[in-house]
Amino acid sequence: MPDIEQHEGKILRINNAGLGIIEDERSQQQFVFTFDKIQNYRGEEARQLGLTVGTYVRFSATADCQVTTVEILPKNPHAVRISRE
Amino acid sequence: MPGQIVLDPRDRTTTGRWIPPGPIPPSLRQFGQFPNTHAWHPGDLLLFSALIPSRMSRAIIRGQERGGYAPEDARWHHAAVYLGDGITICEASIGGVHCVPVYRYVETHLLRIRRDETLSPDKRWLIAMNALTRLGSRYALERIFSLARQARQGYWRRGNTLPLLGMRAVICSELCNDSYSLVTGRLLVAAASGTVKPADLSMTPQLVDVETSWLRI
Repeated sequence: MPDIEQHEGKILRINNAGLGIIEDERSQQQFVFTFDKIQNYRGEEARQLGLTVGTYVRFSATADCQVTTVEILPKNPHAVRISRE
Repeated sequence: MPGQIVLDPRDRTTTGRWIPPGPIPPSLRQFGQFPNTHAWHPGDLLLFSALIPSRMSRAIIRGQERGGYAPEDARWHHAAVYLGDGITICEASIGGVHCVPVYRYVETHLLRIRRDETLSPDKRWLIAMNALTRLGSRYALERIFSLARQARQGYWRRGNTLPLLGMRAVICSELCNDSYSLVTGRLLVAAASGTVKPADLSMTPQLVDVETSWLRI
């Protein structure tokens, strides 16, 4: 089983073919994912998922950058942390 | 990095004979040459650079140069996916995503064929099929304008993302890049803006140039 790492980042680009590009917040590395990697995905369009450029996501990826799961975060998780401090 | 392998319409060397599968444009018959598409595989990336660029092509080339690409990469202003039947490509142009014979480019454009050699034949066909799923999508002209604005700041800058314009629309290089990514789960190019340009497809080391030649009609 390949090593899987957790990341957080924001959507850099999406298209209606069901493809998205995420930029990792820490490393600024880019990852590509298909919508079927989104938790509980049932064929919705990006708009219905609330997925737009800038949306924050938590995702897991293998060492060779294959995204395995994507979770859409309600807002910038860092903004939440700051407001709690 | 090896040099680019380019098919130049001014080169009159041919390596064999091509028999057209049906009617062809009279100007192409007069030109007398056709690329040896036997060397091409479905899903191959085609890059085009006009010998006499139109105003829009000139704007793309200038934008790519200004944005930081080397002239040998910036000169590629259009991209398409080869569909595997010997003549047809899938491209996004001003009229939207459509399939056309490559005829319209062979006399007037430098041509470059690029491929990921690690892909299986099945995956190559899937890239061609994924491009076809975008048929009829609108051309994202507004993204071209955004890219032109970004070019002034430099494409190398991060945090220079494009607004969500025309998610249903597409530009030529994105059509090729996204078809590849949908099949492989990999990025061809990690463009700082998230939007892939023809110059990115020219540069990416994940693709290699394919040797190709002219056939006499």
